[in-house]
Amino acid sequence: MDVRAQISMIFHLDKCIGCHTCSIACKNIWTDRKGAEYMWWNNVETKPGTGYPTKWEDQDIYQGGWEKKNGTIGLRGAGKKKGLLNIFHNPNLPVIDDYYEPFTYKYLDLIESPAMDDQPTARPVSLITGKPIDIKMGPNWDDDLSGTPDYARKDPNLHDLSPVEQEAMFQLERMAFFYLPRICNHCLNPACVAGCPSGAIYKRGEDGVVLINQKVCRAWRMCVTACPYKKSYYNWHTGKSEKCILCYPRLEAGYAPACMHSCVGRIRYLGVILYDADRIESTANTDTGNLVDKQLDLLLDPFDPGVIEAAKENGIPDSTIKAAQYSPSYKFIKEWGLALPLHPEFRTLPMLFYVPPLLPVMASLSHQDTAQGEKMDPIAKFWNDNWLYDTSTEDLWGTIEQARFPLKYMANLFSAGDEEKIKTVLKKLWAVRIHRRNVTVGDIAPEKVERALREAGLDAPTADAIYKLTSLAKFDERFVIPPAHREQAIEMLEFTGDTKGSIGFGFKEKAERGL
Amino acid sequence: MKRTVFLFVFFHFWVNGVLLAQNGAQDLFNTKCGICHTIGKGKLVGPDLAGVQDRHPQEWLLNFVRSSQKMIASGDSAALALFEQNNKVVMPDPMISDAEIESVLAYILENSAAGAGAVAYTSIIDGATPEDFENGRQLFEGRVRFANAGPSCITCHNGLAKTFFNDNSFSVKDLSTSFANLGEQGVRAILENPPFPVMKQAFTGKNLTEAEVHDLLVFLKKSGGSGAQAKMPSGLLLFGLLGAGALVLLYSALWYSRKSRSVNHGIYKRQIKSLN
Repeated sequence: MDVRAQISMIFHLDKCIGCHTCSIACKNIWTDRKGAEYMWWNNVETKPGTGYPTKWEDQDIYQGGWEKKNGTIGLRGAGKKKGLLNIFHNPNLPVIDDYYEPFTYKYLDLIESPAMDDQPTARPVSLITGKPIDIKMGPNWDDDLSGTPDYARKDPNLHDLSPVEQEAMFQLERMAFFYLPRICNHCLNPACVAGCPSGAIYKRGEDGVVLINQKVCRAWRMCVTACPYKKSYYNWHTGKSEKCILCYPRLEAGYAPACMHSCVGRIRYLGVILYDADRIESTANTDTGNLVDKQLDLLLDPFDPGVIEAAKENGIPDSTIKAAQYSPSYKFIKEWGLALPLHPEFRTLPMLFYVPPLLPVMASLSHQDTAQGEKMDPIAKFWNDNWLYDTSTEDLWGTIEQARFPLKYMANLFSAGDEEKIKTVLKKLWAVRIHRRNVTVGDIAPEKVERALREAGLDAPTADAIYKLTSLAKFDERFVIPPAHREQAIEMLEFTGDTKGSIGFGFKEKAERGL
Repeated sequence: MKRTVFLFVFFHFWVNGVLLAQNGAQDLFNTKCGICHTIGKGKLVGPDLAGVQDRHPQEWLLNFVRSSQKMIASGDSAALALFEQNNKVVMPDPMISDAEIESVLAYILENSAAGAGAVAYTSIIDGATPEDFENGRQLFEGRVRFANAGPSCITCHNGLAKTFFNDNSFSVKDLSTSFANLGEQGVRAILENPPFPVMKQAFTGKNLTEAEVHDLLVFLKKSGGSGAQAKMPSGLLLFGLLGAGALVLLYSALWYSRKSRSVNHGIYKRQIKSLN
C-alpha cells in the first residue's frame, strides 16, 4: 500500500445556477493575459450541449484520453510512438475556432466619439489580431440554449440514445438542462503527464495538483491532445502550455481556490483524500464496467489505523491526515456514495467528482387525448387543453424512472453508461428530500419516508448530515484545506539559519552618539 | 656621321619593328586563336580561318574578335549563324588591343594562300585499352593528380552520365556532349592549350602531359558516348501522374478521420452566409 494525499473536489450540480462567477474569478486572476485570452481554466457548460471547446467529449475528433487495447491502456492520440510520429504536426489539436476567437470591444470609441446624429458604437475587436471582427462564438455560446439543433442535439453524450429518446428530450414541453462547471480534474492517471514529450508536466507529491513547468515546456502541445477534458491550453504568446493550477498559491496560504471561494451557489467542496497509488495502474486498466467502482476503491478510509500508519510511513503529515478525516470530499464520495467522476471511461481517474443533478420533476396529466396519443411515440407526451399540471406521484421513484432526461444520458456523463449507479445516487438525493420534507413540513406518511430511506440505503442521521453539508455548510466545512507545510519544503531547499539575524531594523549610516 | 647614326638607328628600329610586328602577330595567333582555329588546315573547334576576309567585311571581323558574345547578344545574323554552326561553343574574348587584332587579321590574310589544303587529322586514341579509360577516369575524378599539379577536371566539370533530367545541351561545366560536339581534334586542342580564360589561368605552367591528354580523351570519348540526348522513357509521365494520384488516394484513406477543420465549421459557414 502506497498511501498518498490528493486534493479532491466535489461539484454539487443541483446547486449550480450557471452564473459563471467561478469562470470570471479564475479569468481575472490567471488568464487575463496576452495569449491566454481564449483560455477558460474554469468554464460552465449547459448540458445537453456541446461545451467548450466544442464537442470536447467526442474523442473520435480530439483523440484524447486513454484507450484499452489488448488488455492494456495507451494514449489515444499522443504517447511515445504516436507522439513522435506527429510531433511536428499534431493533427488532433483543437484550433482557435474550436474554442472561440477572443474579443473585446472598443469601449473608448463610446467615450471619445464626437457629437453625431447617431449614437456611437463600440466595435468588437479580436484579442488575437487586434482587428475588428464579427463575433462568431464565445466560450459559453450555447449557454441556456439546450434543445437547439446546433448545440444540444450534437451533444456527444447522446450517442447511446435512440432517436426516439433523443427526440423526446428536446420536445419543447419536456425540455430541461443543467449546468456542468468544469476545471482540471487533477487526475490520478493524468493523460497530459503521460503525453508530454518534454516531461514538463508533473503531479505534485504533497497534494496531487497537476502542474506544467513553464521552464521545461517545449510547446509540443501533446498535453492539449492527450487531455480528454481539453483542460490544457496552449498560450500562443509565451509558447508554453498552461492549465488550471488549482490556485495552489492560495491553497498553500489556506484559501480555497478562487472559483470555489467565489461560488455563489456554494456548489463546490474541497478536501484531502488518501489513496493507494499502488493500485492506480490496475484500476486504470480495468474493464469499463468496473471503472467507477475500482476508482472509488482506490480511495482509502482515513480513519483506518492501517491506512494512517502507511500514510505516516510515506511522510504524510498528521495535519493532512486529520484534514482527510474531515474532508467533505471523502463524505460525498465514499461515506454517502453521492459523487461520481466525470467521464470515467477516459480512464484518467479524475479527482473532481460531481453530485449528479436530481432530474427535473415531470408533471403528470389528469386527462389525455388517447386517440391522439396513440399515434405518437410512447415516450412522447401529448398535451391538450384539458391538462392538469401535477408534479406529485404515487410511485416513490417515479420521477427518477420517468425522468425528463433519460438516465442513460446522465450515465454517459458520470458512470461510463451504468444507469444503476446514477439511479442509486438519485434515489439517495430524493430520499433526503422526502426525509427533510417530513422533518420540516410533516405532510408525508412516516412509512413512506422510512421506505424511501431504506430503499436508498440511508438512515435518518445520515440523511440529516447530507442535508446539512449540502445546504447549510459553512466555509470551513466546505473547504478543509490541509496546511501546506511550506516551512518544511523550504528547509529542503535552503538552510534558513543563513538568513537568521539578517532582518529587522538597521542603519544605513553608522549611528553615532551626540551631535 | 650624324646621318649614319640616325640611319642606323632608324634601320634598326624599322627592321626590328617590322619583324617584331610579324613575330608578334604569329605569337598572338598561336596563343589566342590557334587552339581552336587553323589557317587552311581544316576545322578544329572553330572554323578554318583561311580566306576569312572573303567571307566577312573587315569591320565585322574586328567587332567579332573583340567580343563575339556581344555580337551574338546584339542579334547579328552572321554571328548567330556561326554560333549555331559551331555547336554553340562560345568564343572567348581574346583581351587584346584593336591594333593587335588588326595585326592578327593581317597575319591570317597573309597566310591564307600559303597554308591552303587541309591536313587530315590522325587519331591518337584508336588503340585505347580499358586501362587507359580507367586512368582517364581516375584523372578526371581527381583520384590521381595530374603530373604537373594542374587542377582535376571534376573541380569544375560534371555531367558525364547524361540523363533526361540533365538536359543542358552544352554548358561550360557539362562535358557530356563535348566529345560529340568538338571531335577528338577539338577536345585535344583544348586539353593541350586551354583557350578559356579560367581554364587557361588554372593550367598556366601546369600543362597536361601527352599521356594524360591521351587517357582523358579516351575517357571523354567513351563516357560522353555519342552525345545523343537520353530520351524520357515513354509512359513515365503517365506513371508519375497515376502514382501521385494513387498516393493522394492512399493518404486520404489513411487520414480519412483526421480532424481537418474546426468542429464549428458548419455553424460558422452559415453565419457568414447570413452576413451577406
